[in-house]
Amino acid sequence: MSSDLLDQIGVMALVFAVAIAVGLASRRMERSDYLTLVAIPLIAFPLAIVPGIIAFGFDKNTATYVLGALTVVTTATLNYRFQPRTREAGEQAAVRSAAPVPTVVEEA
Amino acid sequence: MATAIPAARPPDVVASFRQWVLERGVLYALTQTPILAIIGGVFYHVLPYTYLALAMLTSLVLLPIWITYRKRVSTNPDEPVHHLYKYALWALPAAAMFTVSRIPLHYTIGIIYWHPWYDFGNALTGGSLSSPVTLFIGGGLNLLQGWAMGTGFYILFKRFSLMNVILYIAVWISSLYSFDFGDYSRVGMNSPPYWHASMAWAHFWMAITLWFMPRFNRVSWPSLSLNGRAGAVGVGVVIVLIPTVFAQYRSATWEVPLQNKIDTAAFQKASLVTVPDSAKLLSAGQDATYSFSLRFGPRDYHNWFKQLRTLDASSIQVTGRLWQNGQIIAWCNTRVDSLPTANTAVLPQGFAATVAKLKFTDIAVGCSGPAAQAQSLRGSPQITVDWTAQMTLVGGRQQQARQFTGNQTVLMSFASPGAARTLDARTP
Repeated sequence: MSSDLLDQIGVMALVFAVAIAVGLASRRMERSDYLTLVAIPLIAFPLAIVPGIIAFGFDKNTATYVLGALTVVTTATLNYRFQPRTREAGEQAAVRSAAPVPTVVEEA
Repeated sequence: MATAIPAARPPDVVASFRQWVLERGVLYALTQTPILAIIGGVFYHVLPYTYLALAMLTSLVLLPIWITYRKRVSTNPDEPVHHLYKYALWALPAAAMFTVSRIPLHYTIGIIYWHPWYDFGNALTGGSLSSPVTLFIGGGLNLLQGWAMGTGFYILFKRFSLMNVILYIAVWISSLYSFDFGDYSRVGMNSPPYWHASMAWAHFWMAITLWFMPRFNRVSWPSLSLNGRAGAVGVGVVIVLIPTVFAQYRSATWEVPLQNKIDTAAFQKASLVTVPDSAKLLSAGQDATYSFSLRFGPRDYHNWFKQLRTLDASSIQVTGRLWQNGQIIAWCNTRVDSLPTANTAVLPQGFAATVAKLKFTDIAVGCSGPAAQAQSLRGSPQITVDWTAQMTLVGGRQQQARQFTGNQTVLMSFASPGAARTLDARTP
């Protein structure tokens, strides 16, 4: 791997890690939000990235996309699987399941 | 008596997906056409941007129809269509923050956020790549794209949590931008790691604003007094206006003088010289025809946003004479509309090599004279070329009419054995 590629991947990995650290306090995400975060990078890959790989090869910019996509899928999965719901959110979920009239939920 | 317990029904995936498409998918697609237009038109060149702008206009027509329909049939108060006006409003300052956050980077690491705006404006209107009007229109399109992105987040996600918005905007969109700009857009520019990091930085602040706005709306807005609300709206308006105002200000006070200076330096550096040993006798029929070459360059320079460019030249008119022993043997006259240029390239790949190839460009000059005069070349092929060339030099912003002259002794060669044989046949 070229030094350019490693430099770019290294810097972007650091940047993404710092950004995600800011969001770590968020509670567990909704199932539909989790599915959206997993689906979008994967759907975009053949549509937006693969034509570029065919035309220009796998370069440092493609590697940056792959890094970003893997970061999103992995972090979303970890959040959905392991992040506990807050007590308040658990209660809200229970209320919602009892009376299925959902409301807009904003991050507390 | 045994009672059968009904098995839990598996979730109906098709019905769920259909509901998602109706509630979020269609609305998301209709609001994302500004982004699709820029990606398809300016980056991937699938279709001209103006065609894709038609798709944008179509979605503008379809959007209110769809909103009216869904508001009528929707029974889900969570459906984004019921909150779209709020989402659209919240997305505006977030779109602007994407740019506002890069203003400090302009002064610290030299990030210039507004140069792609010229491309966006030019793609829509075909206007000049250095005009303030093109910059203004491009700024508007940039805001529209950011707005579409932010609105898209609110439509796609049920919960506007910090993690959701950071993963969607600051990580995924950033990585998509790194790929699209790096591979499809940044022609003649280096994209070092700090440039990619600056894009992620900007998306991070956009994400933070997208997260903040619903909280502000829910927590702070209801408790604000009338003056407080007016102040909050004022701050929002200022944030939205800052990117364009700052870009116009820096364009007028910094970009234009800098580019003019760069143009002047490029004009002064360029020269036109006779290519040694390029004079050729092409044919010696009724009239003798000759050619020689002039070499123009160096043409490579870096413009105000450090983009590699070729210095262009147009309306090139060369006149001259070929002399031998004090006698004119041919008159030369050549007109060239413009030199080949690398500046129209739309993809970064191979651009530097093309510019390197065009660093010096040869201009072929044609001459003709009486065939009898060409006979003397058999004895002594040394001639004198004197010429005058007029052209318009075209830089990033400026154009300059320029005249070059030259007078040089060169050796004439024969372009083909046929030309030499013709001379042999005529020699008494």
